[in-house]
Amino acid sequence: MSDTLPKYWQSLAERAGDPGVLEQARNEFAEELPVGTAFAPPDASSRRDFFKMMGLSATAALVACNRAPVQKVIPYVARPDEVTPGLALWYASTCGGCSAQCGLLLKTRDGRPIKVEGNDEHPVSRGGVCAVGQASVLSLYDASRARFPALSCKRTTWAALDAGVTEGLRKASEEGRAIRVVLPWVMGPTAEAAVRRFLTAYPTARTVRYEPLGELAAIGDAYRVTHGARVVPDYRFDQAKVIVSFGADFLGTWVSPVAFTRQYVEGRDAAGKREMARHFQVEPVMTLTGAAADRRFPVAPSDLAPALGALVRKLAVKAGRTVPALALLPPPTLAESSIEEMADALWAQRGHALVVCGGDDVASQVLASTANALLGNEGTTVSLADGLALDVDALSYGELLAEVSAGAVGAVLFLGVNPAYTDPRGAELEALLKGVPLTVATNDRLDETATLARYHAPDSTALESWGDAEPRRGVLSLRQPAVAPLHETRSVVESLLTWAGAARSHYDFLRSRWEAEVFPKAGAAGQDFGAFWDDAVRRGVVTLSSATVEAPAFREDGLAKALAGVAHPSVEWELVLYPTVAVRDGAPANNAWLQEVADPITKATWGNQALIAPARAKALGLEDGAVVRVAVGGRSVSLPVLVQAGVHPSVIAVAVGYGRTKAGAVADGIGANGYPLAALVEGRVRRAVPGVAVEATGEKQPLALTQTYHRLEGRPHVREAELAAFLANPRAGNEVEGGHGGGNDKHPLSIWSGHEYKGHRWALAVDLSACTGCSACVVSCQAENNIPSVGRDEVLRGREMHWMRVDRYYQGDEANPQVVHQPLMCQHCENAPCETVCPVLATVHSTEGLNQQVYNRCVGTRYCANNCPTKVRRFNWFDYKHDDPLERMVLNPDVVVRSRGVMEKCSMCVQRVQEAKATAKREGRPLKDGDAQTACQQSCPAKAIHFGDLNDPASTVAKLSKDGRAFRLLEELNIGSSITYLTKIRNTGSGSGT
Amino acid sequence: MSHQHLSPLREPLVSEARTLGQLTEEICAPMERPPTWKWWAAFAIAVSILGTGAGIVAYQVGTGIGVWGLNKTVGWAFDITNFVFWVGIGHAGTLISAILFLFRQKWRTSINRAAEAMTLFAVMCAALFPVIHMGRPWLAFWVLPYPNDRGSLWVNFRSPLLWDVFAISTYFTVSAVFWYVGLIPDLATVRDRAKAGIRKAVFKVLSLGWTGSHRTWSRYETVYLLLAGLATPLVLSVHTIVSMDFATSVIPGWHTTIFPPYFVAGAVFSGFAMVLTLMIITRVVLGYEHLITIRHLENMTKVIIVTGGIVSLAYGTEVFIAWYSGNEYERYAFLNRAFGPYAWAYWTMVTCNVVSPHLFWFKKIRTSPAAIFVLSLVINVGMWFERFVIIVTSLHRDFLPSSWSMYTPTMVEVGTFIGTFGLFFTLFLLFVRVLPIISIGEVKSVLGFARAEVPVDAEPRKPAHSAPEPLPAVQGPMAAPALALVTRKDAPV
Repeated sequence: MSDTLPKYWQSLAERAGDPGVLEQARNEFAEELPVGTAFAPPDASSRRDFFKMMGLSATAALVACNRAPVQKVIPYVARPDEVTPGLALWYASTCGGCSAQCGLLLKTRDGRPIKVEGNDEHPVSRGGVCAVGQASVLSLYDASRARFPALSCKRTTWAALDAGVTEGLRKASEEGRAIRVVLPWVMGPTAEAAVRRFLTAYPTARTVRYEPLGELAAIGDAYRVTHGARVVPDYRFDQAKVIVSFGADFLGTWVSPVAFTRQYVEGRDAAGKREMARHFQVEPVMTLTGAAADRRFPVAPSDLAPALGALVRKLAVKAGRTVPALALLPPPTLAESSIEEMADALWAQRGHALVVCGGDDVASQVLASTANALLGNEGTTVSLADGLALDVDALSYGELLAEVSAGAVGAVLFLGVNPAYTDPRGAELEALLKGVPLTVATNDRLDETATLARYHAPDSTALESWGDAEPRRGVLSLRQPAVAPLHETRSVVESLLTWAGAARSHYDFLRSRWEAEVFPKAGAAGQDFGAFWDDAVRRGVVTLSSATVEAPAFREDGLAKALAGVAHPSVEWELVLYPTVAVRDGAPANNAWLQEVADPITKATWGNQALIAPARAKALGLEDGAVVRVAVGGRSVSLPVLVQAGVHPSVIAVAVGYGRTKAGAVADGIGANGYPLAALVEGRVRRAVPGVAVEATGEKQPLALTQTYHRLEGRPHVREAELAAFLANPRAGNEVEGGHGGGNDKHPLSIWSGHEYKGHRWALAVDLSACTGCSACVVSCQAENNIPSVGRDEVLRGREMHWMRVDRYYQGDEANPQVVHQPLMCQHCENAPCETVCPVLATVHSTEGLNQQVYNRCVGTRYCANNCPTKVRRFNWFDYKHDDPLERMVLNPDVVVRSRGVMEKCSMCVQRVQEAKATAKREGRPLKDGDAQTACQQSCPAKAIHFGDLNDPASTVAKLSKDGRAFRLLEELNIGSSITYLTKIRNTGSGSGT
Repeated sequence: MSHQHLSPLREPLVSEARTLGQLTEEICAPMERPPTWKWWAAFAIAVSILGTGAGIVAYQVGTGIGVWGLNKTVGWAFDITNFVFWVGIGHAGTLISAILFLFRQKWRTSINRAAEAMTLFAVMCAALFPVIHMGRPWLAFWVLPYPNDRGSLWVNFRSPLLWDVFAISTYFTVSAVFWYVGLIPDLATVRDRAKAGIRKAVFKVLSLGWTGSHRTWSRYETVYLLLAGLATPLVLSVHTIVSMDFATSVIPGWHTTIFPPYFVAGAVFSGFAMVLTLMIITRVVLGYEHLITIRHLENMTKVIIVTGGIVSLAYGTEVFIAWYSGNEYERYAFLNRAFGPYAWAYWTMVTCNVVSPHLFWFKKIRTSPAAIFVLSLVINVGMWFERFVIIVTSLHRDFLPSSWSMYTPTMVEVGTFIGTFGLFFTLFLLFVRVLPIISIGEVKSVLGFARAEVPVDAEPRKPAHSAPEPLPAVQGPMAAPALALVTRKDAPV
């Protein structure tokens, strides 16, 4: 074929068949490339070299294409010490939420505190934090806090304020007029030292101790009567084998609920100790503590003292002592048999029993003190020596008002107290203060009291300031700031020192005081103070090994006088003003987390109600939401009725802490203020008020409840057993077998092949016996996972966003039911019903057993939520904005903020799990049980929640999942829940359980 | 279409004598006349409702699903109730056109076109809800399995919602094609009647070059038969799959194997009721009483009696199984339906769906258009409540009593639902104006049905299969029967 083609030639030489030219034609390259010559001897040049050179030149060209950076990067030169972007820093500190002063660990990210957790090393609170403590981080960023010092509510400078205050104090002092410092009972040793320093500077100055609920004062005054010492003893519930509480909500709000919860749960560890304390609760309103009690007796508040008196009489008889003062007490209404039962139980465990009493009634506290003395509990369950000594010189608030009316007072300083709101005489304060030349408030905002004061010297929050606390004698807890003050606020200690003419920084004052007073007692021989101090600050708590102190002895002489006033009126209605677990006395009310967390008993959010007994409601034809007016002495509040099981029929109970007017945007106008209804009896404020008038107004107001159906319909979602039955059979009360699976992990009838977990398999175990329902976990979860608060209207529509909830169920008589709490979060089902129905695979199973929600992928069909048998999925109905520049600083950067239209739910704190895994990997070790903790688990004061790896047979969770008490929800559906619940054990002594 | 029934013992399907030309004239008349004020009024109302509905949907999409009354426990209510309701309505059309066609039910010819149009419009209304009920409706396309650059993301073929996407879209596509193919001969008729202009051009394109030749007719009928065969299983599949949204879940009251046949029967039941509602209005307004006769209505009521019976049986079976299963959740779900807070909805459903169809056993009621009209509305109300009861009462109290709650619709939900009626009637009114609402070709094939007096010589000609009709003026009047209202230029629609 080639023959037919014409032959082309290029040169004459080629045509002529010149061999040199022909040779050249065979070469690929007609001429030698000169590239090699520049770098190598001419003879070394080759094709290979050519490629080398080509590669080099191409690389050089590419390198040359890469332009030098023109963006002006700003290096992080001024990086604060210790701060690494993206890494959390933890600071040990002390909670300022209430007088309990629990130990905290504050998590900060990039300089912002974002989470409060419990300090496991703190010997009193032992790692627990309550809802209020958890929420204090949100209060730090509260937009309604004062941002600068003020004169007559107008901005001023600290210098001007200090000059004005000092001048006013000097003047008052010179004129010999009284200077009064109104402050809480518990401030911490260093703050007390600052107060003393102030008092020394102004001879006419005295302290006025003020407490909205009067509980510490009542205890202190009672011990003054019975032991001659104004002290709040250290109660040890873990030492008690029988606990009798007369209205003390020690698991919820009373004195130190976090510490008490842990002690209580340890004393009732039926599985571990094979025995548990029996708990009797005598109370007018169903409280968290009453819900946990084995035996509960509803009584009218006026019957508390007589019933307690009758109990003490019986104990005295058993002890063979006659206490004549007891004869003065009126007879109780509570059944003789119930009192007998308690007396027998207490006497049988004398020395290891505990009688506590709540409320503001000194006579009742005197009786409780007498009971403990008769039982010989002092030194075991009640320790006066380790207790909290109260200010013996303090005036009462009533005395202050009398002085002010008399015109004898030249200056009043309110240190973080708010009597204008919390005192029944609050309304009179404004007029009274007009006669006082100098009024100063250090409250954190321009609240009801601070607006009445001339000067406002706002205190920094506990998260911004130094400080210390002594929650038990010898346990010194340090507070260190996790952030510099966000606003122009100043620690109250610094303010006091400045006004006393001894201006020092809080830090210097604290450190020097510790050097002078704490360090010598610390037994840190051979250590220098600097090292001791650094260690103390790092650990947050120091335990002093001081010698035992002789506790004062019980004496009867004051009893008759103390008990003389006890009356037992027979009235139609008795009002009980009680604190709730969330907003307590109302101080932290302007906090959306606390407003939205459901009350553990009523399940109500955003506001207070008038609680009445079911029988009474039926008789009066009142239903939930019917507005009633509660009136006494010309003052009244209108509140919606909430029919509450377990309330005594003659009681109408109103939670305090609501109805704020100047707390801020969140709390103002939510609920109604019950404080003005409190009674004044012999100069003392009493929050149990007999003889109130209750009338229906005919109006209706819907209640924002998170749980609207309270019966279990006989379903086995919670299981319980009586102690005796449990000891005989570890599976007692748990014999309900699931359907297909039969309660084990094999699903013989499943059509699913099941998941394979080669590494970890995360799971939770929740001990219903330990859980008290306090809801600290709910707030902790909300803080950890950036869960929005949705407000009252949305809760009314049933759209609260909490990833975990605490279900509350009643059992038995509605007048006095038994209560079960069940924390419920995503069950992370093995065969998750949600996973199969999502059309876009937005919810999938992880290789570690977690059911994961992929927010980015979710289109929001809500099919998963419908098909969720436990209804734990939460939908973003709207764009819940986090756009307040201050408040959004609380967001956890490790957890994405969800947009509207997507589903969300418990992730088992996957961000914490991943962090723990990364840490373990970096440290080159396997993950240990306990390395990863979920937020709910960490803050649980009862340690009822356990998280871990089911594939690790040594883990707590793996062991608990095989426990006789273990059951899972809806086993008959074969969903294969990863959450193990442990049956609740009761010690009612009534024989076998359910 | 294929064979005539000339036995005088049968009742005629077209009750009055008409020539072929008169039929063409009568059916084409509404399209060729300017609309009357009545049509305008009806259209204005429908469009206003549609506009309001569209505004409400825009507000909802702009603000969030939170403007509905749903909550953490009840995640579906009006949205999916309306979806299933409209899908159910959309059942009758294809059933009438496909299944009745296969069963050679000649009476279907007068109603199938409108019923199919109703199907398409109802499915459009239905398809709206799965989109707008999403939290992020702008991402609704994520439910489609299309190649994407989002890594390994794909749809979940285990999800009944995905099956829905396929079932509904297939059903809509096949129904639309079936409807359009059936329209082609009539579109050609309209084309041929139209004078030159846009109208002629449009119908020329739409009629796909129809010539009316024997070959065309033959192929047309083959295609139509095949499409009928294709559409028939879809009638059953679409609601079967819709029912699986519920049946494959774990929720007591949803997790029921009886759902597929029960839903299909319910859909036919409600679909026929809706066809009746529309046809009774249409036949009166357009004067088509002789085309859509009492006999048509009667036949449809009989279907309603049967499907109503199946539905009643299903209700009974559900309750029985709930008791017989011994499953406490199932038992509670059904007790709660009948005696719980939504008992009023349950008993509304029972009254409308179980009791009211039995009135059709009475010939007097069965042959009274007014009574049928009222009952057809009652049945549609009942069927709406059936879906509401299934969805809401099952969800609001499921397993854990702690999460039980109540659901109350908001005005936005009610407005959206009413808005879909605006969409439906807007489309239907437009349909009445722009397309022949009765299949001209098919009705002509039954014109001589059961008519002894038909001239013998007319029979072998198979008039329906012949070339386009000559103009009526050419053919000359028959014995001057009163023409339908619509043919008279003076009497408006």
